[in-house]
Amino acid sequence: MDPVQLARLVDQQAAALVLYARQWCAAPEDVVQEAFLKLAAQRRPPDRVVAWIYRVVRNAALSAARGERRRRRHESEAAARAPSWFVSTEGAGLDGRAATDALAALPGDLREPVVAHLWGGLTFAEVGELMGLSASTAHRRYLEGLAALRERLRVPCPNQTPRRN
Amino acid sequence: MSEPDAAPELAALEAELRLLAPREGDIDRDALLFRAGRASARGGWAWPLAAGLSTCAAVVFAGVLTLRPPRVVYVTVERPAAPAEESPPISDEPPPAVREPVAVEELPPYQRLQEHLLRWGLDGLPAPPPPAESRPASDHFSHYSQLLRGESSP
Repeated sequence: MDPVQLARLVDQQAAALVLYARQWCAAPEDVVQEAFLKLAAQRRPPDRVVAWIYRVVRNAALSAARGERRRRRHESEAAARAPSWFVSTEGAGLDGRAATDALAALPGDLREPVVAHLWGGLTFAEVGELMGLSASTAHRRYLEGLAALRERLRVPCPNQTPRRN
Repeated sequence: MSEPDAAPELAALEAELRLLAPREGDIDRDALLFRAGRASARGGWAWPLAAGLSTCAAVVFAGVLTLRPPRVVYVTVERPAAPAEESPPISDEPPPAVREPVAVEELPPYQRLQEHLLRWGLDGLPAPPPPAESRPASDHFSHYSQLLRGESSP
């Protein structure tokens, strides 16, 4: 793969990939770096590089998670000590810590399409391919995930009209 | 294929969430690109395979050359037939010695001595000289010199 393309991909996707891998394993940076190295070692770059690297990260993160579960008894306690998954940026209306907690509390099958589509930029067809689902199912789970997040973050619905007493 | 839009009531939340930037973690970009360059420069398996095969072949051939006994090839060569008129009749008797008689006196001294030894053997040599008091001392060299000169022994 061309070094410039690889560097651009690292700049664009490294953080989202770390967030994606963080759903499953405690050392997502290692998983993401290994995925980039695997991509660089490919003689012929895959057709859809982003979808390919998300699949590699997913497989490696799930594999790492299996190993971690064997080593760690109190996963929830360790997750509670984990740092925020987001950095605070200007203009962000949501608190990074609250978003982290809400996202971490989501069921995995709802969280994964949200992360892959929102921050990874994958299409629902690609998300469905990753998860072994159809594109419409991936889209439905994405909407369910967003709805659950809204509940947890207590974001008011814009169409909801306030009740008058 | 166009992506389906999010429900309108979720669009605001979607926009808010997009503004959150994921934390990169401890990824060192430069180190990662350096390692990626090394990973991409790694050669394939063709050259190591070729080198291994040629090494194995060399070892096998060396073993064969060392352990195999030397091979002797016998080649039958037809002897060319000599012309019949020129070949003498083969007989079991040894051919007669053809030698021209030569007078002993005409031979040079060393051949004369050789002839003498061949004819008479060592017994034909002259008797040893008498003791020293009766005759002057002589050695073999002077004795043979006498023989060579044709003098007879006493």
